[in-house]
Amino acid sequence: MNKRYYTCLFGGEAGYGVMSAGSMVAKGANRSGLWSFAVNEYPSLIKGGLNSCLVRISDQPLTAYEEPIDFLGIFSQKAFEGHIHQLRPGAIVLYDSTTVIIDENKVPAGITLYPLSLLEYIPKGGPKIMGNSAMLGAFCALTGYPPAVLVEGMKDEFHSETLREQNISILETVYAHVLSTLPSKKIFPLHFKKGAQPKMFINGNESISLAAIKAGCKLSAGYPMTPGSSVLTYLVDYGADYGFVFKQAEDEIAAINMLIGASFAGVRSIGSTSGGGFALMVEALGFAAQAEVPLVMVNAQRGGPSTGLPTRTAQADLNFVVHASQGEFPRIVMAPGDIEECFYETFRVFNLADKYQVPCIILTDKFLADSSVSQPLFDTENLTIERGKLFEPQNKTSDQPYLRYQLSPDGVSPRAIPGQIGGRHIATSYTHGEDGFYSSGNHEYALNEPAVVVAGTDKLYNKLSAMEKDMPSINVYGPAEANLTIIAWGSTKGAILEAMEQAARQGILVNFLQVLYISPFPTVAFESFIQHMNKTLLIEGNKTGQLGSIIRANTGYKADHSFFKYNSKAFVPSEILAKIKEVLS
Amino acid sequence: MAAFDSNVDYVPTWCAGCGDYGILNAWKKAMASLNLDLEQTVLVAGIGCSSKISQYVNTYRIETLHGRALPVATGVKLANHHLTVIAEGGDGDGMGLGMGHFVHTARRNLDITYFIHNNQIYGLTKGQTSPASDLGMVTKFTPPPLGNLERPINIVKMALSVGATFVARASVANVAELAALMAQAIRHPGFAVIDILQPCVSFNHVNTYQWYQQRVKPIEEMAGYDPENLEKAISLAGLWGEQIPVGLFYREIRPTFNGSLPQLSQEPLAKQEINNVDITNIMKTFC
Repeated sequence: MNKRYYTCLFGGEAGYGVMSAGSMVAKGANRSGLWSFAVNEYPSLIKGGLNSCLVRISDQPLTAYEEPIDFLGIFSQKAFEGHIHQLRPGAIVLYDSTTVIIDENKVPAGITLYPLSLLEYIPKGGPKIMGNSAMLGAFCALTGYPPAVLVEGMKDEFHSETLREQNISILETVYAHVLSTLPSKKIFPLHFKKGAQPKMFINGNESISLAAIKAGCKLSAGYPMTPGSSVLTYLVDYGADYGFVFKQAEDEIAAINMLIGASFAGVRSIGSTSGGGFALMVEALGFAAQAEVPLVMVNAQRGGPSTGLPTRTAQADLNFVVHASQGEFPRIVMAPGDIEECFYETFRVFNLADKYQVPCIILTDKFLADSSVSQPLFDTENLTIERGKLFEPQNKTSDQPYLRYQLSPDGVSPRAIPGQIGGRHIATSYTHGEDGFYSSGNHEYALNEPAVVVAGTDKLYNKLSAMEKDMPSINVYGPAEANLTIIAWGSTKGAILEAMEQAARQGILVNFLQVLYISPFPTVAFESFIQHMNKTLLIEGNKTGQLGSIIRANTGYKADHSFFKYNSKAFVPSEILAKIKEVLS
Repeated sequence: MAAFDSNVDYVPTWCAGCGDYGILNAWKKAMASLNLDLEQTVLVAGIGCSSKISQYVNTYRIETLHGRALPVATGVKLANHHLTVIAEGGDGDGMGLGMGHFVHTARRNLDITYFIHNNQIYGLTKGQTSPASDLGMVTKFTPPPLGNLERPINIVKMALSVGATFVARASVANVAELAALMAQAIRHPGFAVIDILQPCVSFNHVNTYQWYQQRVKPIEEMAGYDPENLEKAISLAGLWGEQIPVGLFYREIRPTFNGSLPQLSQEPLAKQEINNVDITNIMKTFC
């Protein structure tokens, strides 16, 4: 059965509540047995500009969005000009007639224009954001979306009873008015069901926060930076009941050092930032590695370099996070491709950080962090906390001093937590011997420094073999035999999966190798899969093909074709399908 | 005393005559006088000559990055507020790279102690101007004829103005007094700072033992002394030259950051059970 879709977009200056209008529409559909995917776009400002919320609704699970829209609801001229090219034949445009003027001659044939003075319905003295309830009322009448679903949603949305009643009243008044002007009642193309199995409507950052709480993370420290810091906001909101502490730090350098202090003292902790904040944390990343203190850090990428594009998406920090910090040390870089991986792999990363006592980076991007998707409840039944090797006082004999960095075949030594009897030691940012001492503080080391340095460095790298076996490094989707293999990482996954479905319907066999754990690079798994493949296409959201260079460095393999996008927008299935056809033609 | 002794296997690499020896001595005396449980004590050091004290004592210790001892100490304290947490480092480490952290740790009045070894010079990098170097000081980075063109940071005045709740200065020449102040600082419930004057015998040939000895004067003997009065403390803190006051400048009991968090009112975060955390209720809020 073909999937059916309906896409609507609400746009206007910041302050008109277009994003919450979109969110209510998406949540309402999500609660009614349908599947929603909502993409927010907003510039880095508080008032003015052009905000939009695109909501794609389907009767089956969604992994991506497409640009063409069936309904456009707008509060500003800019929103009309910015989105007119997205109108599908037969689309409806609802616009506020006091803020938008449309020259009908410039509108393609077959588009229905519906002007309405939406702001007039706001009670005297009420804020203009209430105009979004008027827009929702008209939206329901014009599209057949059931208004009762939105009214139900407003009961949760507004905590103040007065506001709730006012907004519901605006919605119902406008709905009735618009309906009375139409020749017949519209029927929404997708079927709303009552009492459907509950699903979440959740974004990547929220999923990561939930995973952190489930993983027993008790502390976070951070400094605000879009699009990373909403992980911290959600932790503040949901964590209070779990004894979670959030400390806003004076800067990102302080934040990561606080996390290292907390982790040294035995608490699972998480930080979240974007590229610029991560840049400030880089020295401490190496400190965590050298001191072997577990660390979990989220970098939600945005456009760069420097301040770059604060609110737009990109996949251009991969080389940076894989190589960040001076010296050499193993680290884990995990790039989730969707909401489920944001949850399950974040949970796993907490375990990996503890088991291998290494810094771990969760690399997402604005698109994944900020786009909300319908998602069945996570299955937490089989999630088990693994803290790795911890010092146990009863296993220590009195003539055997505790050595924090004791050499072992797997490179991991039992970790003592401050407060434990018999575990006193020095953890250090210096290159050190088994007891944590730098050569200058230990006569024996001073005489034997080269050997101590080699042993200490090898210790870190000896962790790799067990670590590599312990992570689901690559995911493979699609048929075993294919005309084309796509290679990609991170949030491009959703658009690729939908493009593959469409390709399959047209008889084109495409499969997809997703690199989920990029560091340590899964050389063996990658090579064993790729050697059986025909043509390959590398897809990345950056200019230079950063995963491609990592693949080449590790395996010598170069993809046959590439598709790089760095225009501040996420990939959509249709452009990937077009590329697939181009490559195979 | 033995439990508070240094790690005998590890021999300090400080120069003969370095003030850090005196500070290490006072440190051990202070710990002994408080009878601190070493298993429940964490020393968080920066990087520099002074921070090497972490290699010669016997508590839990973490040698961090240059300038970053305070945020690491903050993380340790929030993770386990039952621990005694001491941060330590030099004037370069703390007042240069670490200045931002110093200001914010003070204003949040975290219940930790901060010992600053102040020799007004960078020692481990062999003699550059520090943020605490006097005007006109000639160093490798500020050669004659100009010398240092920047006013020094007065650590005591700085600490008082940004909200530290226990502020003292001591000279390493008087180990007994330093040890007594260290013990008081550790006992103080809040952010306690001691500016410890010490010579650098290798690279600071101006601020020597003699230079300090000729100038230090017990603050208790000075006119207008009142350790409960912030204005008076700041006024005395302004003295730096012919007379340098030493002793307790100011003490105030103010709610601490860690003490104000309901999450930390009982068991430390580090001791909480983390197996089987149930997130069903949060998931439902997304439905």
